[in-house]
Amino acid sequence: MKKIYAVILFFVWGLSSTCAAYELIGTEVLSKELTARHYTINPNLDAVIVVDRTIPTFEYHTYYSAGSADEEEGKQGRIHFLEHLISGTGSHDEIVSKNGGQKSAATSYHVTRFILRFPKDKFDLAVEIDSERYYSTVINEEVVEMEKKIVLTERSRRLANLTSRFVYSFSSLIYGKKNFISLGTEDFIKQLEPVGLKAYHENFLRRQKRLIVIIGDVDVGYVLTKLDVAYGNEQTPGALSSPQISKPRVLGKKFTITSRGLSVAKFRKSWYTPSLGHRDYAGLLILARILNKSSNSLRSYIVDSGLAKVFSIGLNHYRGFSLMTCAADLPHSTSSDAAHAIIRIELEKIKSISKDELNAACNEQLQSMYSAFYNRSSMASSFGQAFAHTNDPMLYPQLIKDIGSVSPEDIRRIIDQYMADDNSITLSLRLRQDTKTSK
Amino acid sequence: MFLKVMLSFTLCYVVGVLSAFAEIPNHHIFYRNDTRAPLTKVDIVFLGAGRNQDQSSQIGLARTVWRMIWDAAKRRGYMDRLSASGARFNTSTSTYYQTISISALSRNCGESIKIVADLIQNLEFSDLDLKEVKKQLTTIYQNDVRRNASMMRKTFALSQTMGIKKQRSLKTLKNLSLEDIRQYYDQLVKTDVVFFKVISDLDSTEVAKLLRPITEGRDTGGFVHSLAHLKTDTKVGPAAFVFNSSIKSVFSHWLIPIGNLGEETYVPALISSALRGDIHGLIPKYFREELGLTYSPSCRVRASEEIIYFEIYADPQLHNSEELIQKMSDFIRELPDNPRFWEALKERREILKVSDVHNQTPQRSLNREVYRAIYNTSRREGGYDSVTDEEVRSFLEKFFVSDNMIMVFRGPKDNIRDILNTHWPEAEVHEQSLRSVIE
Repeated sequence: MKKIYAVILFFVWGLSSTCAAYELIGTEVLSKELTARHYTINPNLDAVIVVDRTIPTFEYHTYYSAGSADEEEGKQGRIHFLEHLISGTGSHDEIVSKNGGQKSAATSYHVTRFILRFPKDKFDLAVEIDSERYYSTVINEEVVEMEKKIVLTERSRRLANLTSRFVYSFSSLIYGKKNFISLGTEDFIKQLEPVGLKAYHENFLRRQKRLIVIIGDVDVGYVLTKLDVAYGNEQTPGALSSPQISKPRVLGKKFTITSRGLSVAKFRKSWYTPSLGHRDYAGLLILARILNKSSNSLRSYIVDSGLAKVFSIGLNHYRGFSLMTCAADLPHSTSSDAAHAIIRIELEKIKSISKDELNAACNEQLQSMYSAFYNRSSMASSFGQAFAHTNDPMLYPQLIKDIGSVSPEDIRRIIDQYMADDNSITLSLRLRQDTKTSK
Repeated sequence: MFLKVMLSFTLCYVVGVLSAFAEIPNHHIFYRNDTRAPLTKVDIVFLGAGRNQDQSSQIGLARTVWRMIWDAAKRRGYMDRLSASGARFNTSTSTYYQTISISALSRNCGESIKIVADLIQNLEFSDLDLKEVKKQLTTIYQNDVRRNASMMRKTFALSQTMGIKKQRSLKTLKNLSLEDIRQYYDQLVKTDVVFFKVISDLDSTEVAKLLRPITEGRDTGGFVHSLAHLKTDTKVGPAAFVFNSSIKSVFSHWLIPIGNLGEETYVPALISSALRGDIHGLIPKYFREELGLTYSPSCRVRASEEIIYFEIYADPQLHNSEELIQKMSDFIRELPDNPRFWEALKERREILKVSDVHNQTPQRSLNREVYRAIYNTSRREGGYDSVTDEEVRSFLEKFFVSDNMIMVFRGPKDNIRDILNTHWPEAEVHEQSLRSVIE
């Protein structure tokens, strides 16, 4: 009799295995201990799983491929508002807390993410919460009115920061919007209603491609089975293709805004460069590292000479492009032209970079990227951003391999090809000198 | 005291569940193995050489010396040599110790440590070095006023009410002499109480071997570590520090001094966790979710110099600020009689049993072990379970009272003054400019 049961069970298992919708589409070895596995769960949902048994907990992140920069002009703020509603759906706060979990959520330019973190034996609960949020988000008069108060307070807090306001002004130029503000205008938030939000959730956000990233002490087979049960047979309308961002029309231009009462001037210059996945992205990352070194670099020169009080350079990818950005706090005595001139001189100097200097920068970059392996949340976020910006989360670990293949010739070519003034946008915030004529 | 510190280190090695230990004469290694990334991070900690050694006429001495080490590393080519091996080098100053940090790919770490050993053993300072570093620190202090303003405001308020030293003073910085610097450095490099804090994918024996260039040839003598305790039963409030700003929010802090670094913190940590352990804590639940008066309230046990204090924070919009400030102040003072607090506390005791697993990462457990060794804090038998409600009540009745409350506000000063006049007429109000905190 036992043998018969065993045979039946074997066939049932075999049948269920073959019916599972998920499929392994790639693996990447991150280090001797960590490997990333990429699956499709259904046509609209992918998953990345990294087993890390350092402590008996796991991260469960859900990424939607849409964020505030993907919203229409004048209607920004709905995704962020929905992020609040989705995250607060049901009595999850209490359930998460009582089960030793943690949760948070965030909306950025092209990605909206929901984070859960639990002890290892709570995986079923994580999937339950995630699927309840996805299928049954509560959007009614009561929660919308309450959340308006909180979002307006968050907005007020955000706008109290000068740097945040300056970055919004810069984003308006990049995305061609008159008034870029991720959280929306006060008037727009106040007039939001449940019906409109429900429709937006249903017809826009839920139709974006999603990625679930799980990193921690989990069993891969069990995770896949649970995700398959929750989402494998999901019947939803086809995914919307992610809105493409057109090249900024203002490339090559310099803008200045003025304000009273500034203790420092602000300066931001970005070069428009290819996104993650392009063959030059690793070279751009190395270039940023070289420019940002502690000594003998653009940053050290400009800060040590007193031309800037604070200066940093970074490369960030977005959907379809990346931006190499210099951000500075300048004393009022430093003109933007002086900053431009030094940047140009230092870029020319780097063209004669030696093989050893390049190796050093590659090692520093690797050191920085490997450090993220100690932080599961940061690693999950890198997969999520790669997915939202390129549709391929595995471009993040592949980038680590690409770092070693960059040559001095690549750096020279990248500077000539991308780091030209006519491929950049500059925004300065200066002290208003003449209150009668300036606006 | 010296023996006591050594004994506490030894005890830590014996009881530390995850710790490994390699013997180097006169030196100690706090170590965790983490094989997730091919990295080694070494902190060289000079215990006893912290800011608390500064005389009141020499505020900033410890930090100046540490900045000079960093600057010398940069100007004399050490930073370039470190960069060539892909290592990151940093220096930092704390109340009771100074740290030099090196983070590198493990394969290059030996070379990086040799370079740092060479730096420490052969460093000399000139008047020119001091002049340059004073210039840099002046800029850093001024930047801190803008960029770390919240911390600066709180430290200033505590220095004015609790008698702790200011961390930054442009006046004393200006008066530091080269002789001061040399004396301090001579004492520092000879100090007996040096230890290493290491996270690496290498085993502990390999790590100990790597560190020998630093430990060989060091003299003994110098500082003896001691924890200078202040009296904390002085009357500090109610006092309010108001920093004027034309923003549309009122950033509000309530600071409640509760003791000195090194004292046991199970009771305040439990209270803080009940109030803001997560989104389900009593403060976010009541002030954010139910009243909608604040976006990101927080409640933490923090330290500033030798003082430990409770910090409660809320960020109401201007039009909600009176309601928030009044309700929060009453909430704090009436906590011992608030039935919701006792319910939250009971619930939190259960949650802590399952949520503590998140704090067991190698990095966090290493930090805890080092903290316990430095501050000579003992583990309480039974942990949070052993904290009784009576202890909690007596703690609240002692510290959560008007006389022990320091408030710090940033926002429109007239609005804040009106609120204080109405609801806190007994508070001593100080209107401050942010610039005054570094004078």
